[in-house]
Amino acid sequence: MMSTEILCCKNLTKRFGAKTALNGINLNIERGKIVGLLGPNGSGKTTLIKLANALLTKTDGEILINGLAPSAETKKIVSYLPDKTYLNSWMKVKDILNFFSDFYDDFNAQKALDMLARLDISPENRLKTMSKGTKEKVQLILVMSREAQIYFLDEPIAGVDPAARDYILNTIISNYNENASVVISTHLISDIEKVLDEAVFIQNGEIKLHKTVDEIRQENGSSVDNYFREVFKCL
Amino acid sequence: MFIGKLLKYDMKAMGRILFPMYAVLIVLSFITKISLGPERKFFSANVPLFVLFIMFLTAVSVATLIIIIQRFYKNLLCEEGYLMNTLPLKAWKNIAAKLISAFIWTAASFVVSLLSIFILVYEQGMVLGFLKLFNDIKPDYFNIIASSVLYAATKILENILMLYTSMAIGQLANVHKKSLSVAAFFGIYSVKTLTVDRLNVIILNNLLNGSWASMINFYLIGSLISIIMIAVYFVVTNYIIEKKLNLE
Repeated sequence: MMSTEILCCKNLTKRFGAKTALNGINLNIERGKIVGLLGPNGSGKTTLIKLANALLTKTDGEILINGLAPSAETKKIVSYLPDKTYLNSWMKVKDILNFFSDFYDDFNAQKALDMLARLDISPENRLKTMSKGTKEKVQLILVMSREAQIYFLDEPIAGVDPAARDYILNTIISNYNENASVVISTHLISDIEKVLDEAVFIQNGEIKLHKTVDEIRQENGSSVDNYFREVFKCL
Repeated sequence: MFIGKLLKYDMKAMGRILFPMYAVLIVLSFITKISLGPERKFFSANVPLFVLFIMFLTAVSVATLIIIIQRFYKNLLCEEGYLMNTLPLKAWKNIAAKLISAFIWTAASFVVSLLSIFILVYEQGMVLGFLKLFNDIKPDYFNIIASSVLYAATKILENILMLYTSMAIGQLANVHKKSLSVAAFFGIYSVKTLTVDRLNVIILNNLLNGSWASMINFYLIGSLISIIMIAVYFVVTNYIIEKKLNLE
């Protein structure tokens, strides 16, 4: 049975020594939504995403993916783009495609090849010879070529040129099915605003706001970007 | 079961550095051998070449150790860990694949090193001599060889896992992960020296009486102790990677 909530955080807390990165947050994300996780640097966006991927261990509370704690079982349905380059330098793009085919049943290699061709990246290229931006594109293509139930994209457009941004955003909205959700963390709100269904504002490890983009526009008469600047202006 | 697939990538990642080193070592041993001339005059040998050979022989062992550490640290606990630790599989498979490939490459480095020395000291009739020796070996010797190989193999696995456990403990820190890894290594090493190794010596003193049978028993008991240590290290490493991962 599928629960309606794909991601559910209850009183989720993460501390690093004396520093509190997430302070008892409650957050539910439904299926079929594109959600922007918006906040300044150091607000806890990456920490939340890493907790969902079991790369960090929670201090307190609960985080559930499709009703389950992060584990090998949830990793089957989670597709994650970290804010780091996780590809080693000595492989070719096609080796990485084979790697994804080996480990993910939901990986669509043909889809990945099509997207690589569109961005003029040859599968024969070695990762060593690529620029940081190109590596980010390759990673995003790999992540979006899985048919997952939830995608966590941590700063997916930070390092790529504006021309590629539009293509990437189109890739994101056209490459997920109606039962899947996409969580995009960024501080570049104006670029992604048009693809978002919902916005979550996060600050100092606390959720400040979780509304649909339409609600924000109606209630405030401004774009999410402007509203974000208003909310965080005192920073 | 993903272990076979993981193993494929781990073997390749480590082999792409070690394999060329093996090739150079073997070529170097042939060249050095030729430079010695037909009379195998070690004292009139081409000294720089001979030194180079010894240096490279050492380099293969050192490189094997470094690559074992690096493969675990970089692939599981640094940037590449973002990929490896989010694969849909349990942590023990990642650890097991790393351990198996590390063991295979350690054995390969040992065999290639022996082979290079063999090439250097080879003279006609040596192979036949070895074959004859093996033919003459009594069944008793087979037991001692088998038990000593088992002993060596379990010791290798135990030491690799000790490195893994140290690195797993080190990554628990929020800062200075490498320093804590090194500290954890010396911590484990000290505790082990004071307890398990001391027990080993006591067993040795009480068991060995000069007979082959006592030697075999010593190897078997030593292997058993190693197997227990392997289990302890594996469980601790797996617990940390599965439940307490703390990637920067």
